[in-house]
Order: sequence, then structure tokens, then C-alpha cells
Amino acid sequence: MKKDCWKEIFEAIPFACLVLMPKLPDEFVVVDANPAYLRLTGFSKEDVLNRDSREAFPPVPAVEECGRDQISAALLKVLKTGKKVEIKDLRLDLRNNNTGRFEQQAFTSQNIPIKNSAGEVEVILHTIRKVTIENQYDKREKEILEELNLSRQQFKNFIHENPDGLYRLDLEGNFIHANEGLTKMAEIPLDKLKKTNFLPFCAPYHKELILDHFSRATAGRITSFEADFFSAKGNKLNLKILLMPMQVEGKVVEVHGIAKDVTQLKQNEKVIVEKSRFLEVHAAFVSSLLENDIQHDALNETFGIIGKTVNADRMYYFGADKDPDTGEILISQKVEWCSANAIPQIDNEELQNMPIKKVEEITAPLIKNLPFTAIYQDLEPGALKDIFEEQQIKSMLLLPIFVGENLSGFVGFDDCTRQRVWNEEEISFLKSLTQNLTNAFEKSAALEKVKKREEELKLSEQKFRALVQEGSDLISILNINGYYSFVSENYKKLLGFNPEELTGKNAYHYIHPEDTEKVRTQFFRLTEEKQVTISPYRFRNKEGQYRWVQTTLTNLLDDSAVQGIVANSRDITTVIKQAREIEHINERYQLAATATEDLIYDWDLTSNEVTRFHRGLQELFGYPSDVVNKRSFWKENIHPEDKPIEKKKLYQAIGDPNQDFIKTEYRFRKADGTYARVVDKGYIIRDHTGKAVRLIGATSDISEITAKREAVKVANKRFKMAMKATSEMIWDWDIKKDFVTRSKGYKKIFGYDTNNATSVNSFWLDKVAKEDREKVEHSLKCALKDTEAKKWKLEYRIVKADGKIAHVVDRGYILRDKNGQATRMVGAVLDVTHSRKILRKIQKQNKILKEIAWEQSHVVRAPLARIKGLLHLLEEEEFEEMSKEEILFHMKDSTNELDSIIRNIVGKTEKINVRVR
Amino acid sequence: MSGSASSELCEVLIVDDDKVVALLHKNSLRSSQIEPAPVICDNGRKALEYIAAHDGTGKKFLILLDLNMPVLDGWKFLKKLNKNPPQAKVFIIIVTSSINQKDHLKAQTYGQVIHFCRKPLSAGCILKIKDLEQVRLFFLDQKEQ
Repeated sequence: MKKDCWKEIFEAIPFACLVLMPKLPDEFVVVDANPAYLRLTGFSKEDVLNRDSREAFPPVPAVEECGRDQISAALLKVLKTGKKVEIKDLRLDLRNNNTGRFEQQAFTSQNIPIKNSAGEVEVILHTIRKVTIENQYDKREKEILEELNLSRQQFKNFIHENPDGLYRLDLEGNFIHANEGLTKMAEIPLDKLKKTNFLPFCAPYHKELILDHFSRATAGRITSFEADFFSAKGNKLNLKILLMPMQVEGKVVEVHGIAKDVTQLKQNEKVIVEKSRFLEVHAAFVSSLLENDIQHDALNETFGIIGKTVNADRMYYFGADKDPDTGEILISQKVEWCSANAIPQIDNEELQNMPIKKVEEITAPLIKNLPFTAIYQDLEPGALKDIFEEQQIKSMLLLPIFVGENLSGFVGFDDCTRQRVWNEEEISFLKSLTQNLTNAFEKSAALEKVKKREEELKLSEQKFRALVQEGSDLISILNINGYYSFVSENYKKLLGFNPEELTGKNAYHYIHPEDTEKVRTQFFRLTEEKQVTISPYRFRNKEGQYRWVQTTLTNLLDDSAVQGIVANSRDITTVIKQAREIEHINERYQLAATATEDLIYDWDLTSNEVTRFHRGLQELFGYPSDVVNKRSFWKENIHPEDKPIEKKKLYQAIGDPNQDFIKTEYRFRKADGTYARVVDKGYIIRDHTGKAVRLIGATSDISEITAKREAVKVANKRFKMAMKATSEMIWDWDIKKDFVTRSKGYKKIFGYDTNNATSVNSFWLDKVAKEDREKVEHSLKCALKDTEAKKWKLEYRIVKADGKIAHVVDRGYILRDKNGQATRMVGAVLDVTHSRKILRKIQKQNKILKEIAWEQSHVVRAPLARIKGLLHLLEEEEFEEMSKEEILFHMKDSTNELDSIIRNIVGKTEKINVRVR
Repeated sequence: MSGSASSELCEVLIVDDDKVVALLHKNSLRSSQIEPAPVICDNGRKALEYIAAHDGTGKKFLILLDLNMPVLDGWKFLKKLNKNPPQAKVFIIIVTSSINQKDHLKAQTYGQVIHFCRKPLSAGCILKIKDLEQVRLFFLDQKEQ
């Protein structure tokens, strides 16, 4: 081989080659180009030699990523790595020599480093070869294969494995082919399906519809519909069908179809609709409960909506109440809604107050707050089965309603046409509804309770107020020791005490000392008894007078509102006085009867016994005494015309608890048959309840009255005489004229001449001690102003003519006209100066004596108590602290002490006596 | 049983200047199984000081109080106790030789006074004290013995 044959070889290489020498960091200069290169690019040798490599490459105008850059990058890489770099898909635009146009062509390029002896890249051999057509075919085949795979995959996905049924039918409706989706739906293998007609799969009621659509498809129209089909195994399917005619040269040859199973979809849709209806019902129910509370009408309406929604035949509500006597739970139907299939039971008497225990099966779950379900065929013979049969129930669902801890009722759903098995979802939905009902019931129960409490409170407040403020009874609350914590207003009216005066004070303080022990004993019975009535005792009023009082005590210490003993007292002074008076009257009448012509009677209204007092031997109205003593004496002899009127008057008077006196006039037959005009006056005696128990009276002739009138005149005369003669200070005040007549006693006692001084203001008030003047004036004014006041009484001081002070008690009786205006006052003044002095002295003395007594009781008793204790110790022989000798010593000591004390007392008492005297 | 919980809670004080009587009472209490032994104070002031020194919530004192005493008598003791009530619960039984009804009535005006006894304390009287509603609980287990 020739030595420098490399040049020739280079020239002879059939594909394009360039030799490039690296110059600047990123520049390569063309040092040689073979003819194949020049041919390919159309450049001349001069065009490329010693030029920058980039200028030597053909331009690539259409491609953004320029082929030149690709080559430059490859060259740089070669320089950097010293290794060969291949460009596989090099695209270059080259002029077609035939057409003269530029065409893009694909090349591969090899860039091979040629290194010098130092191992540095000296030049790079750059070759370009056209990519062959074979190569392109391979590529295309590969692409087609890929496409085929894709189509297969698509077929598999879209046709074969499509869950929808895809099929071909001939024009008769026989299956030509179908995918797995359809065979699955039809539940029949493909080989059996082929040549089978679609008709046997159609639901009979949709057959016509399906045929109609099929004929449309055979007529060349695309059609879509929904219909029911049955699989080969008889399962119902709801399918959405798309039918497409397959045309060849304008003629329909086959019908292709797609069947989509929408059974589940329909089911889901139904569930969604149902649930949304449930929600609507729920919302309606809740808002109805919120707005209306629990009203039967509103419940009825909502029950209807719920019943229809859940497709039940009856929805009802039973309330449960406890029997107050036995504690048994009784249930009553309160609300009911019925569909046309159920017989209404709302008027069924048996479903009212029915013991829940009667239906054993439902009791256990309901009282545990658990739902109860039953279907007819599962029931054992018993009460529930009877109910099912009676009401034609096939299935039942009961949901309890609990308010607080107690079963307050339950809501039920009956089905009368099918043995429905309620699923959990339905039960939980209905449970949530009943929960709302429960909430509403609880709310209503709570409101009811509050309302009731408020009413009770109001009632008790009213009652209390009525009792305390308007009643005639004295109400107070005391603690167990008798201290007042509350005193009613009418203490003021009846006893003169302001409530605040008594509050905090001890009640015993006001009780008459003679009655204290009795009251105390009865009071302490309260520790065992709830209520104790204390027999009449005397209670001191503000003025210091004792009033007879009867008290009923109620122990309300445990009552949180009261926390005390409620005393209900009544002033029974009048009753007691009356009773006393009656005793006197009886005595007096016994006496009087013997002295007068009156018929005195005492009629016991309880036993209906009449006692008549009269002069034993003498006749009354001419009747012998045995006739008079007859019970029917009065009835038989009263004038027949007067009898009904008098009887009526009598019963009216007796029946009126406020009336205690009756006076009437009537005619009474005498023994001789003539009628005497009589006046009958009777006192009605009543017990503490106001019931009339006795009627005591006198029947007298009119002539007797005349005689009495005469007697009054005599008495008046006697009074006037007495006034003149008496040494007492009596005064008679004509208020209108302000003219006072005073008895002679005035001059005698006070030293004032009464003849010249006649007016209250000009004479009397001047004499009243300055300090008391205002008090006297005010008191008099009040007494006169009070139209009810009949008496006036005041103690005050008066300045006598000699300048000395006299204490007087002045009492006056006020006479009034019809209008209650005071017209006259008659009174008497009593000089109590002396008695006051004595009283004060006595009080002082008493105080001293009491002090002495107290001291003595302590001092004297001390050694005595010691002796008693020591004696006891000695007797019992149970001593540890002292020896016998010590005991005896202490006893002796105590005895001596006692002796000296007694001596001391005697001495003291003597001194005191001297002092008192 | 002297260590039982309820009896520990109630301490008994005899407040009496008469030493013989105090001893007699102490003896009677022991005979009636009231334990532990009472504390004896010979006037009201000493009793107040004792209570103040041993005061505390949950504590209880049963005081047998004489009325006529030197330094601070029974009435003044009650007044002072009312003015500065201790934290402890104090039950008072007046034990006096006085037979004056007024003393009895006056004693009732004090809320702490639960009973009124005449000197010397008899066994019957102690029984009654043990059965008083306010203090019954403290002597319950002792009674059962």
C-alpha cells in the first residue's frame, strides 16, 4: 500500500466527510472536504476550505433547531470528551439537483476524533450519511404495530370488556354477535345467545315499546329508549338501549345496539328521591314542632307526610302515663294517621289507658328505650297477635319516646298489606324523627312544668297574700323557741302592733303569765305533731290589754319556703266574752224570769232542745207551765200569717255568721184565743266556725216595751241627778256648739270654777300640761274624725289651779248622727295621780325584790346543789376523784356555807323591808 | 370506743367556779359513759380562751355552763360568744343552781343554748342531754355500748 494513500482513501469515501480542526474554544475550521461532501451540499472546495465549520454546513431554514447547531454541539463534545459522538436524526435542507428546490432530508452523522501523539484531539472527522428508505419502513411497521396494539386494547376496553352490552342483530331481531357485557346481563353464554331472538328477554309490558323502537332502527333511524327486560335466569333488568342501523350501500343490513344496565342507577335514584323526601319531611316536621309545639293537628299532618313517605299504612303516637295508684304504665293512643289500607283505631276505647304489660312483647324493648319490630308470621299466639289480627296488621315498628328517665310514649308504624322488614337505615331515620318528637315533648314537658310551677307559685302567693293580708286571722311565723320571723299586717289592726315591732321578739313575752306554761306545753307538741291547736289564751295587745286568742300552729320548719312554725291566730275575745256573758245572762235570766212577765227561752240549735224560763207557777199568756214547756209551744201559737215570715227571718239570721242578734215583732196567741203583739229579741251564739249553736232570747208583750221606755226616761233623769250630785268629774260636750257642761267635781279637785269656762279650747286645753297638749288635741281630733270610734280614752297631765301637776285618765263616749258625724261626747275624768305614784313605788320595790330574789336563788342554791351531788356520790359509792373523808368534808363545808347564807339573807330582807316601808 | 370518730369531734367543757360541783359533774359524765373526760374551766373567760385555742372548722364543743361565776359569768360568756362566734359549732347546756324561772326564759333567747339543767346534774338529766337532737349523734356509739 502506498505510504500517503490516506488522502486518496479520504477522497474515495462514498459518503460525505469533512476534516475539522479546532481553533478557538468553540470554533472549528474546515481543513478538508471529500468530493462526496461537495456533491451532497453543492458547495465547491473553495467555498468550505479554511472556513468556519458552521459556514460549511448546509443551512436548515425550516427547522428551528438548526442542524448546524446540532453538529457544533457534537463537535464540542468530541473535543471535550475525546470520544466519538454520533448524531442519529440529523435533518438538513438540501437542494434537489433535479428540481432545484430545497428538501429536508434525514442523516446520521459520525464525529470521530483523530488525536496526535500527545493524545490531544488534532482534527475531527465529520461524516454525514443519508438514512436509508429501509430504515424508514421499519419504523413505519413498528408504528403500525403499535397502532394495532392500541386498537386491540381499545377493542378490548371498549367492546370486549365494556360493562355495557354491545351487540349486533339481524333484521329479524336475532343476535349475530354480542360482547361479554351483554352475555353477563342476559345471563346466557354467547353461543346460546347467537341466533336467539331478543323478544323472549323483553318484559311483557314493554314488548310493544321495544318492537316499535326496533322497527325504527331497521328503517334506518338511530333510536334510544329505556325498558324492562328479564335475564335468562328471570332477573329483572332496567336497560337503556341505543339502536343504530348498519347500512351498506344505503341499505340497512344489521342493527347494532348498546344496552346499558340502569337498574342500580334507577334504584339509587329512587333512594336519593326517597332520602331527599325524608329530609324534606324531617325539615317540615322539625319546623312544625318548633313553630307549633306539640299540637295534635300539627302532629296529625306531619304523621301523614311521614307515613306516606315511608310507605306505611298507619302511623300513630301512644302516650304513656303512670297510674297514680299502682305505678303501672298505662298507654293511650293520642294521634293517628291511616292510609286507605288501614282501619283507624283512634276511637278504639281499648287503646286508651291500656296497661303496657298487657302486650308483653313490646314492654321489654320499649322500657329499655329500644325499637320494637314484628311481622305477623313470626308472632306467637298472644295479646300482640290478637291486635295484629284485629287491626289487620302485617308488620309493626315501634319507636320509644323517652322524656328524662321515663318512657313518655312511643311512635308506631303499621303495614297492612305486606310483611315489611324495616331496614336499619329506615329505622335509624325514623328514630331520628322520633328523637325530634322526643325533644319537642321534653321541651313541652319542661315548659308545662315551669308554667305549672309559676302558676302554683302565683296561686300560693295569692293564697298567702289573701290569707295574710285580707284574712281576719293573725298570721305569723315563729322559730321553735317562739321568736317571730314574720308578722302579718293585721296584727296592727287587731292588736295594735306594727309587724316590725314584733319581728325578732319572743311571743311568750306577750302571753299572760298564767297561760305561758299551758301554751309552752302545747307548743312543744309540734316536735311530734305537724299541727297543733293551742286552746284559748291571753295575749297582750299594744295598749297592754289582754285579748283572748286561739292559735293553730303548723310546723313548716322543713319547708324551704317557710322554715318556721306558722301561727294562725284569731282574736276570740268577743266569743269568750260572749260565752262569759251568756253564763251571766243565764243566771240573770233565771233571776229575771222569776221577776218579769217575759218568756225567756234558750234554744239549743244542735239538739233542737228548748228551755223556757218563766215563773213556775204563774201562767204566761194565760197558759199553764206544762203547756209552755212543750217544745212545739211557739210553733203552735204564733199567728199563722206571721209564722212563715218569722221562720224565714229566723233561718236567715241563724245562717248569717255575722249576725248575732235578732229582733222581730209578731202576733202570738194567748190562751184565751186573742193575739198579743210581742217583741222577740234573741242572741245567736256561734261556735268558732261561725255556726249558730244556741239562740237565747226573750219574748215580751208590747206593753212591756212601753214599760221599759218609761224606765229609760227614769234612768236618764237619774243620770242627770247623779251628775249634779256626784263628786266625780263628769263632762258633757256639745261638739257642734262647742259647749261643755262639767260636774261640780272639777272645782273640788282641780280648783277651777266651771261656770264661766265652757269651751274646750278656751278652758280645758289651757289646763293641760304643756308637754301633753299636742297629744291631747291630736288624740281627740282623731277620735272624732274616725266615724267608727265610739270611745275615747287618754292619760295625760293637767296643771291644777294651785300649780300642781295631776295625772288623769280621761274617758269619753262619742255620740254620732246618721252620717257618723260626732255630735256629742260624754265623759269622765279620773285623777290617777295618787295611784300612779303608788304604782311607780310598787314597780320600784318589785324591781328590788326581784333582784334580791335572783341573787338569793343563785347563792342559796349553790351549796345546796353541792350537798345534793355529794350525797348522791356517797349513796352510789361511785367516786374516783374524792375520798369519803373529802366528801364528808365538802358536805360539812357546804352546810356551814348554807347556814351563813341564810343568816345573811334574813338580815338583808329585814333591811329591805325597812327600806320599803 | 373512746377513739371513735364522732366522739372525738365533740369536746365537753364544764364551766363552773365551784370545784366540788365540777368534780361531781365530771364524775357523773364518766358514769354515763360520756367520753373523753371533760375539760374544766373555772370561769367564762377561761372557757372562751380554751375555745379560741382549740377552734377550727368541723370542731364541736358541748359546754355545761354555770351562770353565777366570778370574772366572766355565764350570761357575759354567752354575749361574748355571740359577738365573736368561733368557727367550731358550740352547743350550750346551762347548768345552774338557780331555780328562778327568769333565768330559764332568758337562756332560751340564746340560739346556742340547747338545754337547761338544775344543779347537781342527775343521771336522768345526762341521759336527756345525750338524747338531745343537736348532740345525739356524738353519743350514739357510746350509748350503744
